[in-house]
Amino acid sequence: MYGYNGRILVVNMSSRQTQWEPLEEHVLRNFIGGTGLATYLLHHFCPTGIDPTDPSNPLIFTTSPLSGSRLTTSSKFAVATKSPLTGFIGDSLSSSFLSTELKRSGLDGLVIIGRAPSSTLLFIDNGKVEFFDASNLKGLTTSMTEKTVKERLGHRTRVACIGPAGEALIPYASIANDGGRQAGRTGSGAVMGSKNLKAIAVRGTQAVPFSNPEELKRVGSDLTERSLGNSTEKYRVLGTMANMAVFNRLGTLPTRNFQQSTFEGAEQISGEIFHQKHKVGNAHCANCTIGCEHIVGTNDHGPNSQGRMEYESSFALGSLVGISNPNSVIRASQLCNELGMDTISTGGTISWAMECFEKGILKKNDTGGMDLRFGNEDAVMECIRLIPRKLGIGELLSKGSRNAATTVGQGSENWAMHVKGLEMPGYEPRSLQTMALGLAVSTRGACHNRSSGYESDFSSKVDRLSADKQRGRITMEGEDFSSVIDSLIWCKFLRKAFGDFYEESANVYQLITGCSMTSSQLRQAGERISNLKKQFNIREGWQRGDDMLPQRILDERLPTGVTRGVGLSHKDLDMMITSYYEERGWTSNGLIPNVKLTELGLMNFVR
Amino acid sequence: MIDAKRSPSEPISIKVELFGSARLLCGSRVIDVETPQLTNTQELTTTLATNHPELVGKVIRADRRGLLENYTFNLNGVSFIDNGVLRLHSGDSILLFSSQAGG
Repeated sequence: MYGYNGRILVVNMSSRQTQWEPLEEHVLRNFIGGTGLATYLLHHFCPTGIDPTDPSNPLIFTTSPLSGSRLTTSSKFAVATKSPLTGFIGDSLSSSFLSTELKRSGLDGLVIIGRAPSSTLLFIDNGKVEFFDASNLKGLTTSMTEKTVKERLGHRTRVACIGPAGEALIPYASIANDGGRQAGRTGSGAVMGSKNLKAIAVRGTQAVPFSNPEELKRVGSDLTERSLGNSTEKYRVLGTMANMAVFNRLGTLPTRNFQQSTFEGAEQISGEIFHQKHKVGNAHCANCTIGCEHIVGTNDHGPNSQGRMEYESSFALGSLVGISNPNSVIRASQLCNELGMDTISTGGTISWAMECFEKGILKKNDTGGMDLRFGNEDAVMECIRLIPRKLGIGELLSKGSRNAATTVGQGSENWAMHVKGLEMPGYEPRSLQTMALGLAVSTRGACHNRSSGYESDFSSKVDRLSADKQRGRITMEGEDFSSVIDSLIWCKFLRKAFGDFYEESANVYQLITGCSMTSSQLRQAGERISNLKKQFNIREGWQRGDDMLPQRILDERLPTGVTRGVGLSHKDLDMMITSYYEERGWTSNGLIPNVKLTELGLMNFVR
Repeated sequence: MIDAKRSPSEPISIKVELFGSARLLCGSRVIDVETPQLTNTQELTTTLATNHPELVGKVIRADRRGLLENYTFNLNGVSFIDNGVLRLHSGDSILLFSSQAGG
């Protein structure tokens, strides 16, 4: 089988033993790579019911059949583990050179178990594994860690690392790679930190042959041309920051901890303003022709800061915390990146605390004298600094909004805006009701990237302000699509460049691997992977009540903008969730019956 | 409802709110447009193209008969508009932005 190395590398950080294990062809065909393969490996290597910071919780990196192919947007990898934030599957994606380097070092997956006795740098050099003392890296930011490792091991080395947040086991710590890209959500950085693994350095020079390289090149050229067309224009011109002004106008911009859906300062932190007044340059991931990364910099008299800006960061550290100063948003976002923390969870947790402060539940005694009201830029920066140090209010915030609210009580659970423990992204569910369902049922918690429910909500296909039963099918199809695209792996920003995504992707898979694959087989693989993720959650204790939205979403109507008065009732959410379970072929309690597991070849994953 | 005092073909004044590339190209967040109460997306696009030719080929199709596939109209922040008849009122806003949701 071409396109794969056909094996994974298992590294035990406790014993420093390493082992290559073969991957059978049926596993690769059924789970493809990326997220699918990572989920499969998670089932096999993760003992049931363990604490996510237990040494036996595996930290898994997987590449994909497309990685190394030079197809546009194909240089991506997946990370999977049991999430310290949710207790369920924690899967995320990141991009760029590390993906191809992992592939060229001879592996399809890297499974890290155990715990090193002290801070360690793991070096994989064309499959050969070395362990280095990393005490000189302790406490370094993500960029300094990467720089220092490359100075030691060579600048062609690619690095994945954690910052101080991962070292402190902050449950929403991220893993950074290739100059600031992040496997951001669900806290994989904390799992890495729990293994005393500060950084992974990879060097690989082994080419992975493809079945039909000539035709693959032709297909790739055609796709490259399409990737530069209208279907990706938004990402190339403004990037995801383009969402800010539009979402505000449509009354779907979460503001002040989801108390409102419009923000009076939205235009000041819009993509247009970042583009006109703060743009420094563009960046591309390896082998990407789209170039969605927009580098912005501060332009005031404060400390210089510069980095990538995405919509989710500008919302989470902007409207969500009541801040309309773009310089402040840039600094806060970049600080999170350097400390290695998910910006969405950071902003979501701070905004919860701000509401607690404004309601008098948290007082200046609790905040070290800080005025933690919405809009206080200095307070946001100070909170971000304190979180990895677990000092003062940082100790409470370091727990994430769910556990912080449990600690504080006094009704604050009602405005801890998370699903399954994962803080909510920048899509107001009451005014995007397909997205509402997707957020409620996503296996990794409140995730905007899995269901893609916003595609329907931003169209005339549905009424985004009301619920109906067709949302179940839409959500299921969106999730299965994501399962495929995240396993092959293509970047989702390329999705509209395809004519028939499944047909074209099946063809590419065949050109790479030499194995037959039809579009319907690919669709079924997507369904299989989605169900496998769910099955992991079920075995880790998922219950029907976990598929839910925060109480605020179901109790309160939106107060401002064109969506003023709009709400989402518990009954309507329940109706949509029921429709989703029906479309999935699951029981009314959301469990996967044996007939469905058998149909998808997943009976072996029932424990 | 159509304004009964006006003929459906009598021009009314509406606003077109611009986002993303459209805003950058026109250098403005909002532009004023005169259009019949009863119109359609093709006519609206043609009017926009006439008033703002900088949008042609970048936001509006080269033939000026519609938006490029990656753009969409929305009425008053509420309803997404497919091709077809548009019933507008004086003071309505048409939003023009990328149909590429998400990020």
